Amino acid sequence: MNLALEPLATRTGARFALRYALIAGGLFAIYAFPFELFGARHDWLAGYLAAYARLAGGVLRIFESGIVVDGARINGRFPMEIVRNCDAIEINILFLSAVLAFPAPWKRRALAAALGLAALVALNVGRICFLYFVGVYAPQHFAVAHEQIFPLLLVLCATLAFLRCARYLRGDGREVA
Amino acid sequence: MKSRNSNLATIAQFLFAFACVFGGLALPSPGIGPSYARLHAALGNQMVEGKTFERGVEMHFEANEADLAEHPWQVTLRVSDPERRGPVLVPFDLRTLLFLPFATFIALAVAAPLGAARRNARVLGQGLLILVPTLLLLTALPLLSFLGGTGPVRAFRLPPLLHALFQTVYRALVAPPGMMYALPLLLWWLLVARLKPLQEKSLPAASAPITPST
Repeated sequence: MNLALEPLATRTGARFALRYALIAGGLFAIYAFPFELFGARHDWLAGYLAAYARLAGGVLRIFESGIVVDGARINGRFPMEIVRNCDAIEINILFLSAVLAFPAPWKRRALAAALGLAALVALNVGRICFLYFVGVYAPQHFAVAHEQIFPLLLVLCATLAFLRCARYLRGDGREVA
Repeated sequence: MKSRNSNLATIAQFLFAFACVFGGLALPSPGIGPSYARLHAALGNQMVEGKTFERGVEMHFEANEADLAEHPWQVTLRVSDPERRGPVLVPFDLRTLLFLPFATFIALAVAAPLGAARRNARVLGQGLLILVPTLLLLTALPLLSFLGGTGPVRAFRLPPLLHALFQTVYRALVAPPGMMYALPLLLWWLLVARLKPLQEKSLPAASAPITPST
């Protein structure tokens, strides 16, 4: 099976795996470290989460009037709050680390990372909007959609996006999208 | 172009097989949920029951019929502290914490077109040996931090750096919903990438047509 990657037994494959683990580990450590245990502010992500809520709320307003965003809270027929992990950060970190660790010229990596991340953020905003309507029309399915179905779809999309980027990074394809 | 089409077909077949196996394991709900919850409650009680922690704190995992009828995949840890009026209840959703990652890995290992069933079995066996204890450990980390001082009941003391480590690992690998699928996927990729490439069976040296001797 072609995994778009070198096997781990090769030097290139092993180096990719090691770089991937280091980059992902570092990014996860920054995002997940409990700074509040050491006296830092609890809400250091508040501005970022509020911006995410504004973005999702702005898109929701295209489909429904009466959407009001207050901080990280989206008020409408089904109120939602954007909290840590609603930003699908784990998917972004795993994708970004894989692209940055890939043995390819920096220019290609930067382009693939930028376009890939933009696509994943757009996908996640779409997920939030879809969840809003699940909450409005089928609230009994909200928890399953939120906690089980959409995470699977996001991981699947990020994997396919990486496989597509890997072709570009290796020079097999002419463009990313 | 032919090779690209063949790659796409392989990926499509793989995704279809994955969806069938994963759907078969994960869709029937409650399915094995209550039995799974009772088994894990029993395992948990093997570790904590009868032990007394700091300040007389005691613990017990519960998965009774009434709770399972409402939440078929939930186990509740009851933490009793003699200095508090009532027990502290810590619910665990075993479906998202343990079962779905487990089902994801099985589906990936079974569905992957690795060329020989023996290779799939090898990936499956090695992966489960790593995945099961890892998931149990990851589930236990936030609990250790919670009972070690960040929660309302302190059952034992943990140094701040260990708290920070447990919290970081929990927030990075357990709390994000995508990680229940990403972790088994990464483990699967690691194991598949370690497999040696399949070698073509070479023809025997004396493969020339046999001619009758005169």
